[in-house]
Amino acid sequence: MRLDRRVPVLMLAAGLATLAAACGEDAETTAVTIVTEWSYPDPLWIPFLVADDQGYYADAGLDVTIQAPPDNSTTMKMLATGDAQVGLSAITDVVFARAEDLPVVSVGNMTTRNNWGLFALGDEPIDVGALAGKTVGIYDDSWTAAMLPLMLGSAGLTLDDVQTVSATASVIPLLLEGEVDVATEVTNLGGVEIVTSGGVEPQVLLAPEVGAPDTPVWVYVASSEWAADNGDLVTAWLEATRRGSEWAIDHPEDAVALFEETYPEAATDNGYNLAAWMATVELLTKDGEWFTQTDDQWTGFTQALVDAGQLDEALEPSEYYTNDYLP
Amino acid sequence: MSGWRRAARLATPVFAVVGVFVLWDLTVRVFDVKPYLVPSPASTFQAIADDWEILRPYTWTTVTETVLGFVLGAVVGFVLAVLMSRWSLVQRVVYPLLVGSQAIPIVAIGFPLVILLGYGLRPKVSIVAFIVFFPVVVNVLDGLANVDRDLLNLAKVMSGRPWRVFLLIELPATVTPLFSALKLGATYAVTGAVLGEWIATTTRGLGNYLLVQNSRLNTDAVYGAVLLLTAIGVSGFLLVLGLERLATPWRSRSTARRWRRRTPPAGADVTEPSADPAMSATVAVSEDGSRTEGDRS
Repeated sequence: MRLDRRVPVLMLAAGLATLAAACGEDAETTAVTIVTEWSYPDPLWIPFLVADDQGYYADAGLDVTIQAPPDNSTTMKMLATGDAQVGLSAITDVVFARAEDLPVVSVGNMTTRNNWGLFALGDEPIDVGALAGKTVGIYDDSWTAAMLPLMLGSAGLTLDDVQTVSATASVIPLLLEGEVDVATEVTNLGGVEIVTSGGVEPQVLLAPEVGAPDTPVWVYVASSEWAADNGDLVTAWLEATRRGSEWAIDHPEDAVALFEETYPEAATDNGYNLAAWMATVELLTKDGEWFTQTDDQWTGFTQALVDAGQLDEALEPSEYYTNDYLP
Repeated sequence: MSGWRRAARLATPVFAVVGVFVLWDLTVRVFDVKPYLVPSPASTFQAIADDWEILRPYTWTTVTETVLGFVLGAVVGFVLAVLMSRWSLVQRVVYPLLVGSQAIPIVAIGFPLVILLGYGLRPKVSIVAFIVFFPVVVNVLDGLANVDRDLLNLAKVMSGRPWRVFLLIELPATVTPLFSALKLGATYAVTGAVLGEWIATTTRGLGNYLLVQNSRLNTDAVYGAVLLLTAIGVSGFLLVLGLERLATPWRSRSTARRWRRRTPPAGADVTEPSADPAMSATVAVSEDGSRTEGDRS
């Protein structure tokens, strides 16, 4: 009987202990939304998925939600309005967001090089001077608007000397079908697509090879207001994301399997996701360093935008980025 | 209708539009909406004015795509509906295909269209026509299916030739449903043009401008492009509405319009049938049974 009386008491005590533990856990965990750079899943999201799956974010006290924006320009708006706290973005979006005075800041490079350029089929290396009168598949974005004139300008050409074909979804099918002579893309996405979908190795001419600034294409970003109040969390997030990236580098097949399991609609049977991730891995560090940004990468790029007439004025680099939250 | 009442009637939609802009402006001010989310009407119009030199050719491109696609879609839709009403076998074969075709997301067939038709106007015009033709087919087909049977029987009894029966009885029956479809099509057509521009293009229009400005977070300019696209859609609708009023005067007037006649030259045969389209319209109305010969003026 005495034992019977103890049972409810013990159960109550156990319940209270569990509740206290749960409350304590909540108090230590901060909900954070990561907004991505693109509205549909791509292998650039793998570090986030792995860091979450491996418990690195939980270890850092973060309860993360990965949220895709309705379109790529909304990434910055979601950060500015507090719908997301951190994210991944193309560097151009940060520049234009700051031009509109949105409270966002780049907190680290995701990739470390400018891997954007011209892609063509065939055996002949791409000669910019020979592009006069040719068709060039492009995207209607500011990156292209800044970089393509620089590449053409290296051979004394302008946009008027080529026929640009703008596409919203992908220019690669146009290239593979022979509908354009050259396509503008990045090595780790479109470049890989040419190989996996077309079965051919393309000719590639990267923008820095003809004098364009060697600006990283993607950066990790944060709401500057949120980051100012939660600097430790930004640092913890970057560190956990780095750990996720390293795990995915060491276990690429497993990381891609996790990506395709999470987003079955993005799964492919031609090895695109794995090849794209492997191509992204090459871009993640520079001289063994993660995340570190420089004034030069920002001044070079913003000046290119100004020269191309895409940006009225370049702000001070500190208006765009900070290394203060690096792990 | 008195002048005042007519003016008030015309002014009502204008006030409604102005009211929308006032409400928009008040919402932005009262709720302090950030300009990168929703700009004010004033800054939107300013963005249009600032970029007008760029916008003008883009607007022209989008208008061209819209108008050509609309006309093509309307003509194809009308002819198809007539063919389907004439031959039931054609209708049984084609109708399910038409319904199925409208379930296809346009974006999904955009790339094959580009491969087949190139990057110029043709794929955009095709997409607009694809959007416009379906309501035309359905409405005209319904109109042809609901022709007054008594009139058709009367024509048969009077040995009416098929083409005259079609011209004088069946064709007038399609006018009202046709214009309903055209009004729908006129508003949807501009969306088709923008979708076409988003697939792949060398002829840039407002859709491309909208994308570029969106990528720059230039929300003023995005809303400016949206306003221009809206204006194109509304203008198309009003144009069709005007044509409808001209083609179906009995719908807006209870009495026949009094056309001023010139004094016939001496010796002219005044009993000769008039070639005046308004008179033809009156004849058509009479054949609908809603008016009498005495209505002619």
